[in-house]
Amino acid sequence: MYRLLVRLYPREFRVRYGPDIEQVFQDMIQDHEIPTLLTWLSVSRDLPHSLIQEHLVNLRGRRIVMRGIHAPEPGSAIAGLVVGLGIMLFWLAGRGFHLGRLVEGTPWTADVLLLLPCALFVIAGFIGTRRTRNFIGGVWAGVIAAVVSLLIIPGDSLVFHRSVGSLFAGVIIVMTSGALALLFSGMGALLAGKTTRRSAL
Amino acid sequence: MSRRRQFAEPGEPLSPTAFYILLSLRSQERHGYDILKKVRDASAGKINLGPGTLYTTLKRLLEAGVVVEVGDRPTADQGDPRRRYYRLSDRGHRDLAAEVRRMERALVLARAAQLEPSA
Repeated sequence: MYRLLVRLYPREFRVRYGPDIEQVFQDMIQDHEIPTLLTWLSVSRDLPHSLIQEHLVNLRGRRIVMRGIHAPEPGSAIAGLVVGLGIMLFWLAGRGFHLGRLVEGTPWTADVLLLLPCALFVIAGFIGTRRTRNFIGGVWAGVIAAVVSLLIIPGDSLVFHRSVGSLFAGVIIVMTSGALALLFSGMGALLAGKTTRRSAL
Repeated sequence: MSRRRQFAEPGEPLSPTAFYILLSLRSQERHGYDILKKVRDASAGKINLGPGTLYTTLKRLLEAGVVVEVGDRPTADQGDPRRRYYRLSDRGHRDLAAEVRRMERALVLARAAQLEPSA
Protein backbone atom coordinates (compact mmCIF):
# COMPACT_ATOMS: atom_id res chain seq x y z
CA MET A 1 0.00 0.00 0.00
CA TYR A 2 2.80 2.42 0.89
CA ARG A 3 4.41 1.70 -2.47
CA LEU A 4 1.22 2.89 -4.15
CA LEU A 5 1.23 6.08 -2.09
CA VAL A 6 4.86 6.76 -3.04
CA ARG A 7 3.70 6.80 -6.65
CA LEU A 8 1.88 10.06 -5.88
CA TYR A 9 5.19 11.96 -5.74
CA PRO A 10 6.30 13.80 -8.90
CA ARG A 11 7.85 11.41 -11.38
CA GLU A 12 11.44 12.70 -11.23
CA PHE A 13 11.49 12.67 -7.44
CA ARG A 14 9.89 9.22 -7.35
CA VAL A 15 12.39 7.73 -9.78
CA ARG A 16 15.35 9.13 -7.83
CA TYR A 17 14.18 8.66 -4.23
CA GLY A 18 11.17 6.31 -4.38
CA PRO A 19 13.16 3.10 -3.66
CA ASP A 20 14.97 4.84 -0.75
CA ILE A 21 11.68 6.08 0.72
CA GLU A 22 10.25 2.56 0.50
CA GLN A 23 13.42 1.17 2.08
CA VAL A 24 13.19 3.56 5.03
CA PHE A 25 9.51 2.71 5.50
CA GLN A 26 10.40 -0.99 5.48
CA ASP A 27 13.12 -0.33 8.08
CA MET A 28 10.57 1.51 10.23
CA ILE A 29 8.12 -1.39 10.01
CA GLN A 30 10.84 -3.91 10.89
CA ASP A 31 12.10 -1.84 13.82
CA HIS A 32 10.62 -3.57 16.86
CA GLU A 33 11.23 -0.52 19.03
CA ILE A 34 8.50 1.37 17.15
CA PRO A 35 4.93 0.02 17.17
CA THR A 36 3.56 -0.46 13.64
CA LEU A 37 0.59 1.77 14.41
CA LEU A 38 2.97 4.58 15.38
CA THR A 39 4.85 4.12 12.11
CA TRP A 40 1.62 4.47 10.13
CA LEU A 41 0.61 7.51 12.17
CA SER A 42 3.99 9.09 11.46
CA VAL A 43 3.68 8.30 7.76
CA SER A 44 0.11 9.63 7.58
CA ARG A 45 1.39 12.98 8.89
CA ASP A 46 4.51 12.96 6.77
CA LEU A 47 3.11 11.89 3.41
CA PRO A 48 0.58 14.70 2.65
CA HIS A 49 3.06 17.36 3.81
CA SER A 50 5.98 16.07 1.76
CA LEU A 51 3.75 15.34 -1.26
CA ILE A 52 2.45 18.92 -1.40
CA GLN A 53 5.91 20.34 -0.79
CA GLU A 54 7.51 18.29 -3.55
CA HIS A 55 4.74 19.07 -6.03
CA LEU A 56 5.14 22.80 -5.31
CA VAL A 57 8.90 22.49 -5.75
CA ASN A 58 8.20 20.67 -8.99
CA LEU A 59 5.95 23.50 -10.18
CA ARG A 60 8.69 26.01 -9.31
CA GLY A 61 11.09 23.83 -11.30
CA ARG A 62 8.76 24.29 -14.22
CA ARG A 63 9.20 28.02 -13.73
CA ILE A 64 5.54 28.31 -12.77
CA VAL A 65 5.36 29.73 -9.27
CA MET A 66 2.56 29.49 -6.72
CA ARG A 67 3.00 32.94 -5.19
CA GLY A 68 -0.27 32.98 -3.32
CA ILE A 69 -3.48 34.81 -4.06
CA HIS A 70 -3.01 38.45 -4.96
CA ALA A 71 -4.59 40.99 -7.30
CA PRO A 72 -4.57 39.82 -10.93
CA GLU A 73 -1.64 40.95 -13.04
CA PRO A 74 -2.27 42.69 -16.39
CA GLY A 75 -1.50 39.46 -18.29
CA SER A 76 -4.28 37.60 -16.44
CA ALA A 77 -6.73 40.48 -16.75
CA ILE A 78 -6.26 40.82 -20.52
CA ALA A 79 -6.49 37.06 -21.12
CA GLY A 80 -9.61 36.83 -18.94
CA LEU A 81 -11.26 39.82 -20.58
CA VAL A 82 -10.67 38.58 -24.13
CA VAL A 83 -11.79 35.02 -23.36
CA GLY A 84 -14.83 36.21 -21.37
CA LEU A 85 -15.95 38.43 -24.23
CA GLY A 86 -15.36 35.52 -26.61
CA ILE A 87 -17.58 33.24 -24.53
CA MET A 88 -20.31 35.90 -24.35
CA LEU A 89 -20.22 36.54 -28.10
CA PHE A 90 -20.25 32.81 -28.83
CA TRP A 91 -23.24 32.30 -26.57
CA LEU A 92 -25.23 35.20 -28.00
CA ALA A 93 -24.32 34.15 -31.55
CA GLY A 94 -25.53 30.68 -30.67
CA ARG A 95 -28.85 32.17 -29.65
CA GLY A 96 -29.01 34.37 -32.75
CA PHE A 97 -28.22 31.58 -35.18
CA HIS A 98 -30.25 29.00 -33.26
CA LEU A 99 -27.24 26.71 -32.78
CA GLY A 100 -29.08 24.87 -30.04
CA ARG A 101 -31.93 24.15 -32.42
CA LEU A 102 -29.58 22.78 -35.10
CA VAL A 103 -28.61 19.86 -32.93
CA GLU A 104 -31.87 19.62 -31.01
CA GLY A 105 -33.05 16.10 -30.37
CA THR A 106 -29.50 14.73 -30.44
CA PRO A 107 -27.38 13.95 -27.37
CA TRP A 108 -25.02 16.79 -28.42
CA THR A 109 -27.42 19.66 -27.78
CA ALA A 110 -26.04 20.90 -24.46
CA ASP A 111 -22.56 19.43 -24.83
CA VAL A 112 -21.76 21.29 -28.03
CA LEU A 113 -22.74 24.62 -26.53
CA LEU A 114 -20.75 23.94 -23.35
CA LEU A 115 -17.62 22.48 -24.94
CA LEU A 116 -16.35 25.68 -26.51
CA PRO A 117 -16.67 27.83 -23.35
CA CYS A 118 -14.87 25.09 -21.40
CA ALA A 119 -12.11 25.00 -24.01
CA LEU A 120 -11.91 28.79 -23.83
CA PHE A 121 -11.49 28.62 -20.03
CA VAL A 122 -8.57 26.22 -20.59
CA ILE A 123 -7.08 28.72 -23.03
CA ALA A 124 -7.58 31.56 -20.52
CA GLY A 125 -5.78 29.57 -17.82
CA PHE A 126 -3.00 28.66 -20.23
CA ILE A 127 -2.43 32.20 -21.46
CA GLY A 128 -2.78 33.71 -17.98
CA THR A 129 -0.14 31.37 -16.57
CA ARG A 130 2.22 31.77 -19.51
CA ARG A 131 2.02 35.56 -19.37
CA THR A 132 2.43 35.88 -15.60
CA ARG A 133 4.57 32.76 -15.04
CA ASN A 134 2.30 32.08 -12.10
CA PHE A 135 -0.27 29.31 -11.60
CA ILE A 136 -2.61 31.72 -9.82
CA GLY A 137 -2.32 34.09 -12.79
CA GLY A 138 -3.98 31.43 -14.95
CA VAL A 139 -6.78 30.86 -12.46
CA TRP A 140 -7.33 34.63 -12.24
CA ALA A 141 -7.69 34.75 -16.02
CA GLY A 142 -10.37 32.05 -15.78
CA VAL A 143 -12.24 33.88 -13.02
CA ILE A 144 -12.19 37.17 -14.94
CA ALA A 145 -13.37 35.33 -18.06
CA ALA A 146 -16.24 33.84 -16.04
CA VAL A 147 -17.26 37.23 -14.63
CA VAL A 148 -17.14 38.87 -18.07
CA SER A 149 -19.03 35.98 -19.67
CA LEU A 150 -21.86 36.56 -17.18
CA LEU A 151 -22.72 39.53 -19.39
CA ILE A 152 -24.65 36.81 -21.21
CA ILE A 153 -27.45 37.31 -18.69
CA PRO A 154 -28.16 41.01 -19.45
CA GLY A 155 -27.31 40.31 -23.11
CA ASP A 156 -29.96 37.61 -23.31
CA SER A 157 -32.44 39.94 -21.70
CA LEU A 158 -31.65 42.96 -23.90
CA VAL A 159 -31.26 41.25 -27.28
CA PHE A 160 -33.54 38.24 -27.05
CA HIS A 161 -35.86 39.35 -24.23
CA ARG A 162 -35.09 36.18 -22.28
CA SER A 163 -34.79 36.36 -18.52
CA VAL A 164 -33.02 33.98 -16.18
CA GLY A 165 -36.36 33.17 -14.58
CA SER A 166 -35.66 33.33 -10.88
CA LEU A 167 -33.01 34.39 -8.42
CA PHE A 168 -32.28 30.74 -7.67
CA ALA A 169 -31.65 30.00 -11.36
CA GLY A 170 -29.36 33.04 -11.51
CA VAL A 171 -27.35 31.83 -8.53
CA ILE A 172 -27.01 28.37 -10.11
CA ILE A 173 -25.77 29.90 -13.37
CA VAL A 174 -23.20 32.06 -11.55
CA MET A 175 -21.97 29.14 -9.45
CA THR A 176 -21.75 26.79 -12.43
CA SER A 177 -19.89 29.39 -14.43
CA GLY A 178 -17.46 29.94 -11.54
CA ALA A 179 -16.88 26.23 -11.01
CA LEU A 180 -16.27 25.62 -14.73
CA ALA A 181 -13.91 28.59 -14.82
CA LEU A 182 -11.86 27.35 -11.84
CA LEU A 183 -11.73 23.78 -13.10
CA PHE A 184 -10.84 24.43 -16.71
CA SER A 185 -8.60 27.45 -16.20
CA GLY A 186 -6.74 25.41 -13.56
CA MET A 187 -6.26 22.69 -16.17
CA GLY A 188 -4.99 25.30 -18.61
CA ALA A 189 -2.58 26.64 -15.99
CA LEU A 190 -1.21 23.15 -15.31
CA LEU A 191 -0.86 22.56 -19.03
CA ALA A 192 1.12 25.79 -19.29
CA GLY A 193 3.44 24.46 -16.58
CA LYS A 194 4.09 21.26 -18.48
CA THR A 195 4.74 22.91 -21.83
CA THR A 196 6.93 25.59 -20.26
CA ARG A 197 9.12 22.91 -18.80
CA ARG A 198 9.35 21.03 -22.07
CA SER A 199 10.39 24.15 -23.91
CA ALA A 200 12.93 24.94 -21.16
CA LEU A 201 14.48 21.52 -21.66
CA MET B 1 13.34 33.63 0.86
CA SER B 2 13.59 30.50 -1.26
CA ARG B 3 14.91 27.28 0.19
CA ARG B 4 17.81 27.30 -2.25
CA ARG B 5 18.80 30.77 -1.11
CA GLN B 6 18.68 29.59 2.48
CA PHE B 7 21.72 27.46 1.80
CA ALA B 8 23.32 29.89 -0.61
CA GLU B 9 23.94 32.56 1.99
CA PRO B 10 25.92 31.35 5.02
CA GLY B 11 24.66 32.76 8.28
CA GLU B 12 20.99 32.52 7.41
CA PRO B 13 19.02 30.19 9.69
CA LEU B 14 18.52 26.54 8.77
CA SER B 15 15.19 24.82 9.32
CA PRO B 16 15.22 22.54 12.40
CA THR B 17 14.88 19.50 10.11
CA ALA B 18 17.85 20.53 7.96
CA PHE B 19 19.89 21.40 11.05
CA TYR B 20 19.36 18.00 12.69
CA ILE B 21 20.07 16.15 9.45
CA LEU B 22 23.35 18.03 9.05
CA LEU B 23 24.14 17.36 12.69
CA SER B 24 23.51 13.62 12.22
CA LEU B 25 25.96 13.54 9.32
CA ARG B 26 28.65 15.58 11.06
CA SER B 27 30.68 12.69 12.39
CA GLN B 28 29.97 9.86 9.96
CA GLU B 29 28.29 8.73 6.76
CA ARG B 30 24.76 7.44 7.22
CA HIS B 31 21.92 5.91 5.19
CA GLY B 32 18.32 7.14 5.28
CA TYR B 33 16.94 5.20 8.22
CA ASP B 34 20.11 5.78 10.23
CA ILE B 35 19.70 9.54 9.70
CA LEU B 36 16.05 9.33 10.74
CA LYS B 37 16.91 7.54 13.99
CA LYS B 38 19.82 9.87 14.76
CA VAL B 39 17.62 12.94 14.24
CA ARG B 40 14.96 11.51 16.56
CA ASP B 41 17.53 10.75 19.27
CA ALA B 42 19.41 14.06 18.94
CA SER B 43 16.20 16.08 19.17
CA ALA B 44 14.99 14.04 22.16
CA GLY B 45 12.04 12.81 20.09
CA LYS B 46 10.94 16.35 19.18
CA ILE B 47 11.60 15.81 15.46
CA ASN B 48 10.13 12.59 14.14
CA LEU B 49 10.87 12.61 10.45
CA GLY B 50 8.90 10.46 8.06
CA PRO B 51 10.54 8.98 4.95
CA GLY B 52 8.96 11.60 2.66
CA THR B 53 10.17 14.64 4.62
CA LEU B 54 13.59 13.04 5.08
CA TYR B 55 14.15 12.63 1.35
CA THR B 56 12.57 15.94 0.27
CA THR B 57 14.98 17.66 2.70
CA LEU B 58 17.94 15.49 1.65
CA LYS B 59 17.20 16.36 -1.97
CA ARG B 60 17.40 20.09 -1.17
CA LEU B 61 20.62 19.60 0.78
CA LEU B 62 22.14 17.58 -2.07
CA GLU B 63 21.13 20.21 -4.64
CA ALA B 64 22.65 22.93 -2.47
CA GLY B 65 25.91 20.96 -2.22
CA VAL B 66 25.70 20.80 1.56
CA VAL B 67 25.39 17.00 1.60
CA VAL B 68 26.96 14.56 -0.86
CA GLU B 69 26.21 10.97 -1.66
CA VAL B 70 28.97 8.54 -0.78
CA GLY B 71 30.08 6.41 -3.70
CA ASP B 72 31.39 3.43 -1.70
CA ARG B 73 29.41 1.91 1.10
CA PRO B 74 31.19 1.76 4.49
CA THR B 75 32.61 -1.74 4.90
CA ALA B 76 31.35 -2.13 8.46
CA ASP B 77 27.77 -2.24 7.21
CA GLN B 78 26.63 -5.58 5.88
CA GLY B 79 23.06 -4.52 5.19
CA ASP B 80 21.19 -4.01 1.97
CA PRO B 81 23.70 -3.08 -0.77
CA ARG B 82 21.05 -0.87 -2.41
CA ARG B 83 21.21 1.60 0.48
CA ARG B 84 22.59 5.01 -0.34
CA TYR B 85 24.91 6.72 2.11
CA TYR B 86 25.31 10.43 2.64
CA ARG B 87 27.93 12.64 4.25
CA LEU B 88 28.50 16.36 4.85
CA SER B 89 30.47 18.22 2.20
CA ASP B 90 33.08 20.80 3.21
CA ARG B 91 30.45 23.43 2.66
CA GLY B 92 28.05 21.45 4.85
CA HIS B 93 30.58 21.51 7.69
CA ARG B 94 30.98 25.28 7.25
CA ASP B 95 27.20 25.87 7.12
CA LEU B 96 26.63 23.75 10.21
CA ALA B 97 29.35 25.60 12.12
CA ALA B 98 27.85 28.92 11.00
CA GLU B 99 24.43 27.80 12.22
CA VAL B 100 25.83 26.84 15.63
CA ARG B 101 27.58 30.22 15.90
CA ARG B 102 24.29 31.95 14.98
CA MET B 103 22.51 29.98 17.73
CA GLU B 104 25.23 30.91 20.21
CA ARG B 105 24.84 34.61 19.37
CA ALA B 106 21.07 34.32 19.76
CA LEU B 107 21.56 32.66 23.14
CA VAL B 108 23.93 35.42 24.28
CA LEU B 109 21.34 38.03 23.27
CA ALA B 110 18.56 36.11 25.01
CA ARG B 111 20.61 35.85 28.20
CA ALA B 112 21.46 39.54 28.05
CA ALA B 113 17.74 40.25 27.81
CA GLN B 114 17.18 37.89 30.74
CA LEU B 115 15.07 35.59 28.57
CA GLU B 116 16.48 32.38 30.03
CA PRO B 117 13.94 29.58 30.19
CA SER B 118 12.60 28.84 33.66
CA ALA B 119 13.90 25.62 35.23
